[in-house]
Amino acid sequence: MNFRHFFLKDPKRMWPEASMLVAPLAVIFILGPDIYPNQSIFMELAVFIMLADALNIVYGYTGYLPFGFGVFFAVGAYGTAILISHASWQVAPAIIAGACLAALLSLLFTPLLRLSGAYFAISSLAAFEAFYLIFSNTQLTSLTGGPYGISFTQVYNANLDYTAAVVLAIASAIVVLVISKSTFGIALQAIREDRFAVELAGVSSLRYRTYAWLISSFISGIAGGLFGWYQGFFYPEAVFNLTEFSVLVIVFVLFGGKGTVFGPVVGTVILFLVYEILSLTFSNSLLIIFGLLLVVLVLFIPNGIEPLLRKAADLLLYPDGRD
Amino acid sequence: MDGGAVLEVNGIVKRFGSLEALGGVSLSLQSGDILGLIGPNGSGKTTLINVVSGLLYPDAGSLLLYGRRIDRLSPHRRSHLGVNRTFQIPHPFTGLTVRENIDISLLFGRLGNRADLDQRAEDILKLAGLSEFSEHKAGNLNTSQKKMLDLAKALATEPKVLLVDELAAGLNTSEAEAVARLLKEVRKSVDAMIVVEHVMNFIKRVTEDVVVLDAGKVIFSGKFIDAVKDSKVREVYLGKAGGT
Repeated sequence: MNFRHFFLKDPKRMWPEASMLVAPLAVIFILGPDIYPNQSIFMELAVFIMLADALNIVYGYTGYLPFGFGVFFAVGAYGTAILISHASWQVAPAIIAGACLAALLSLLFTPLLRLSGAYFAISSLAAFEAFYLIFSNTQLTSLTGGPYGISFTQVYNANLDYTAAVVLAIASAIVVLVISKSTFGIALQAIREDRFAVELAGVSSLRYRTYAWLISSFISGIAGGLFGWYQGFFYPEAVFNLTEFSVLVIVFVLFGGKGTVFGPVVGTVILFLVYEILSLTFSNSLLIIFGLLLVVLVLFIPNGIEPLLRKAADLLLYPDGRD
Repeated sequence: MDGGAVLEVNGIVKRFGSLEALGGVSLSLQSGDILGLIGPNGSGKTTLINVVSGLLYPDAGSLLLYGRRIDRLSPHRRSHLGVNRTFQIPHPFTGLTVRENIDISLLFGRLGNRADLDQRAEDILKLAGLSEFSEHKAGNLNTSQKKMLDLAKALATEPKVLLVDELAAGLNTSEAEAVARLLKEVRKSVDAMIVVEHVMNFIKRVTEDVVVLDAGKVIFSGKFIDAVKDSKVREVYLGKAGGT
């Protein structure tokens, strides 16, 4: 990246928003497991926040929706698992290497970035399916475990994993905040708005979309590694799960408000908890109820809840209006 | 410059399926030139601007900027080399503020750097008459202001060749006059300009040199006053009876 193009426009204004992100998330993740003693739910919430932020960078900021986005999550999980189980790597470097593998994979997909709209969305889905078939192939059982799954329980440490996931979920939200306040983020938003006009401004839309794609896939890979570590053992279907790690994440981002800093985080917290509550009480009809809920949300708040929350906050803080 | 052409357009051909939008267009701009590009609807004016700015690649022919071939370069590379344009229908980044729209061009354009960013942005906003709208979302500007923003964005990349596509279209008389004055001001900061326009009075105020296109071909190249007397030009604008 050409760093002369990356600087924060107004760093001072970043701190209030950073504290508004960190404080509520810290409260949820520290007090949550005490109020509802099921750490794995909060662990999944942290993973989903990371995925929502990662998707927001590529979809919210550049306008490119990869349906098969979950492939980076899965590759991160597999990369971590393989390095720990076959090469006896320590967990932290294995997760980072897994994420780097996901980012490397995203580089292979950069020709897809020349496509747009539905073509891009569908081609990424094809890539997802292709990698699912590779990782679950019986020919690769000795490396990936094939359809029988991969186990690396020797490093299992739920509390440490949970702490790491919480810290990194908050960090991923901060990454989005920094991007949004940087000239790099403004260039990405301009790409989303008009990819021809942005070229005339001197921005290589392909190069900047590639940067966004790399950052996004790296964060997804980290989320996958943390998720895999928490499981200790997983089947290919557990990480190559299109409904959970692609579609659900897209829904969280849309519900919260794509291309915003708070939207994907708030959207994930609310909808994930609704999803979990519904799954406890209406396990048989969960997807029907959740689907109907989404139809209502998309019809009535197509831009997500972030703009509404921002208006509500403005009314509370400035009841007489801003000067 | 050493006397060579700033921009050379040599035999540009552009086809859309069976339709030949440009059938071998050639023209040349020297330093200091302002060229009026006129012609009836569908004559290929905007297509030529799209080809020169890089939004379309030609099927044949070549484009040379200061002797360097640019016809296969992407629009952002051409912007870095000094070619920029405005659009007939403005293309602002509607979700960004006016200032952010300008900042992108200042930061990523030909000279692309942070030096004196505020001052440079203020100068351009002032020139375009947009200073008071600096923090407004570009999407909230009216059409005339959006056109000015389009011009300001192009100027912020510090172009050497500026392509102005129907900037006065849809503007009232006083707005069009202001735009004509502005283009004369802009002339000082660029090496050469092509001004596409339908409104003849507007072209007359901006330049004397015109090229007339019809059905993708150059039918006249010369002075504006001669163009209005030219039988071919009169025919394409007024029909056969106009020429008699």
